[in-house]
Amino acid sequence: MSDLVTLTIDGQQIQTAPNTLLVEAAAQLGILVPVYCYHPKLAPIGACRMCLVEIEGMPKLTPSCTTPVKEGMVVHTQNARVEKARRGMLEFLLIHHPLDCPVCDKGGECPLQDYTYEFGPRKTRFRYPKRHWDKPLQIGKNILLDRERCIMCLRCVRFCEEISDHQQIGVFERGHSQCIGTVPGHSFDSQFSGNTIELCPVGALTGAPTRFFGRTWEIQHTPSICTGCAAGCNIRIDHRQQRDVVRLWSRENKHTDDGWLCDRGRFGYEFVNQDRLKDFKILQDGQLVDATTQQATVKAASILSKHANSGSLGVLASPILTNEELYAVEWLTRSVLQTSSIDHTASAVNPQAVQLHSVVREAGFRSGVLTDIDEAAQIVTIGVDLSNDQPITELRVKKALFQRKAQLVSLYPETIELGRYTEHNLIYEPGQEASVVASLAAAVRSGGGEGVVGQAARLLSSEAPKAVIVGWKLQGLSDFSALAKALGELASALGPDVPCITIYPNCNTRGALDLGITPGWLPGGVAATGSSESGMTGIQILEAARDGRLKALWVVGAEPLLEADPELVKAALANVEFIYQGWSLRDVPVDPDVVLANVTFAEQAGTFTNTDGRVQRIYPAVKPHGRSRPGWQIVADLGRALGKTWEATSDQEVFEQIRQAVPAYSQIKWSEVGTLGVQSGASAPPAMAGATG
Amino acid sequence: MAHLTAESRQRINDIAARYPEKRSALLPALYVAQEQDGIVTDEAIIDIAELLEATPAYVKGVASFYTMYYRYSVGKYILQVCGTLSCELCGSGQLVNHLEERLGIKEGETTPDGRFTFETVECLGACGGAPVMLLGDKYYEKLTIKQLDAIIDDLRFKPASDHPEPPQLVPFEDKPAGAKST
Repeated sequence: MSDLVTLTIDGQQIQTAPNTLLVEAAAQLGILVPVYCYHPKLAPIGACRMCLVEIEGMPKLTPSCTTPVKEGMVVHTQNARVEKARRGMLEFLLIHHPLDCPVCDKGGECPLQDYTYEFGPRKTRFRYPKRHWDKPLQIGKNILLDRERCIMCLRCVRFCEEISDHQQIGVFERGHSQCIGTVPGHSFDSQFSGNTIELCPVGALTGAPTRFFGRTWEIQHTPSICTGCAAGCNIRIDHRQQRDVVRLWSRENKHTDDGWLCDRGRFGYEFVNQDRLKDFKILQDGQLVDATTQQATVKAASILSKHANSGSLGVLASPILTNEELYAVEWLTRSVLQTSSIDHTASAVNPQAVQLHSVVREAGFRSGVLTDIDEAAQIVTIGVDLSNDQPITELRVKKALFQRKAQLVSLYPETIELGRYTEHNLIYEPGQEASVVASLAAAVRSGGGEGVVGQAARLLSSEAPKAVIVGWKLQGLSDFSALAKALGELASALGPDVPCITIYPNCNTRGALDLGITPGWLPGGVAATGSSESGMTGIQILEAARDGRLKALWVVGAEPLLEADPELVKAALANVEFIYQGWSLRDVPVDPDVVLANVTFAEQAGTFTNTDGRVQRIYPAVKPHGRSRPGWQIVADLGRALGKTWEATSDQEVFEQIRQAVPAYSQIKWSEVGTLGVQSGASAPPAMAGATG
Repeated sequence: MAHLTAESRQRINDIAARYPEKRSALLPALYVAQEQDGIVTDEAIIDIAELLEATPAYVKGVASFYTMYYRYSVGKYILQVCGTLSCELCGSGQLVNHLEERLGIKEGETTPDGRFTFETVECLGACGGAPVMLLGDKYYEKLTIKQLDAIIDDLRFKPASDHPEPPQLVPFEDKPAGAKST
């Protein structure tokens, strides 16, 4: 590119894109300019004055976080004048700061602490009493505020204004009384509030659930994937000596989370620490007693073999298990036990709609990925409320709406949060999905029409790049073929190559579908034929168990049980021989005959496939509790007890088997999955254009 | 002192109708609330946020930033003496001393009967008439101590019916300990 700007920073020449901020240009040269208010994802504000630099020809020092580069600029970031200014700024910032680093959660990873050591004055000249406030204030369910520590960088307020548009916190008063706060009765309960903890460059905002989690230098970090929803947000598990998880932190991946986390994911890790199964157990005289791994495995295997090949066994496997675990469960169920009743969910799913991502592809859409939202000027959401269904994708849509003025058409039975930003809210009666989509498609084709549908259609009949997002709630429609037809009409009305992103409910629902944890579908999305076609769905399995048509249930992970009517679950589990494999008995209402202790995602290696088919790796962060083991190893033991050998001995080997079984994964090289994941083949767009960050 | 009255709401809606974005009417809306209660209450802030499609935190941020909105109890009459250079040179300091003596309060305080608050303010933009005092929306220029006494006498002896109950002190939990009240 010829339109680069050349400038000199500290004697080094650099060529960089126009409009690059000086602080970013310096970073490109590896020069550290200390910042507090600057953040790459927030608009420049120049509030903290920490980044002052000298530009030759300018009379005064200039904040480098608000000044774009200019041809021929000569900038000094390290001379005596700049260093004096930094010292002065830090002295100001520390005037009222309590210097309570020894008890502050931020201590050890605090830029205020670090820069004070590096650039700051050694002692204060302020001889008056420091300002004091009540502390900490619980300003929201998850957020504590310590105003004495605050340096008024306003990152938190700007995040709530620019990114989440939940302006529940504000800047109050002025001068030395200036502070962050909330209005009584209106607390900071945004579901993205936890991001402000990460943004806060000091210890002013800390997490209520993670308060006093430990000293940061005693905390180890392990990359992982959030299990809260299907977005597949990249997280960093922070743990103490591999013993317990103390907090989750974001780990930016532009393909999934774009650098943010929702509170449900960020604070939803307590299941890793609490109520854990430490031992294998068997039921003796009505009591669950600890058993050796072998005793429990043998007993479970005997139950399974008794019901193998007879159609009297049902298998439910949780969609938050890893691909490796699910693949092992599928192998044992179909290949060894000759059972076809296997499902990952107990909610009502229309058999035609199980592979929703395939359905939309067959309807004529291109398989979309989340980053397609970043390219779209018009976004259509159908049957999905992203606030609940995938919060982090809602932020991505908001980014498109706020920063690129994208337009939204929402089809949902209620007004959704994103509906605030559009006049095109097509609100319909539940059950009318197909006719609403069909009428929208017809209106788009005719270029307009009456009412809201007509307006939305006029909008969508333009050439602007579009993205469609459909939600899993559509899977429950009793008459799905009408909707499939309507989606086909919409796809052809919107034009060629419109991406459609499918939002699934759980972190590995997509993996479960790819691996055949669903009746009627074998691994690789191959429709089952012959005897395996007749498998029961999750809800049918539970009903059959209740009615005595099934004699045994093998449940791996309790999530499917939570989706069904609790009375049904109780009756079903009490009526069969029940093998439970999981990490906690908390959500299991009936004592199982055998309990196999499975680890959680935090204790094992493996992969998850997110909602748009991105395969991402998790790494073991904490040590398994007690004797618990990764699910595929437990399944391998069961297989051995049943006389079948499971070839794989490591998670990588299991993944190699998955690659061979699932065509969409065949191009994925284990070594390339790394920490940021790889798009699986079936839904990879023609060219993975560099998505905007 | 509480929520906005129907009349205040109507006034705010009328003002908001003049702007493409409702929240542009925020500053005049806060004045409406202040005229109603003497101060801007938290309840009024919440009501204004609702009327102007902003959030309470945003409205409170604006209301607490500008010194001309009162968040804590003030007197019925607010005497604002300019303390900036021109007025100071022309004797505003003497006016301040006289007010302190006459009213028995320090700058920034309110008389016990709730009738007067007196404060010094930055430049009122009328240096040609220094020293200047602002009372309500009225400027008193080239003010002498004698004229000041006359003004106070006039206000002090206004009939009691014209003299509402002093607004109650609003406990403001966010105030820093020892911070000066406005």
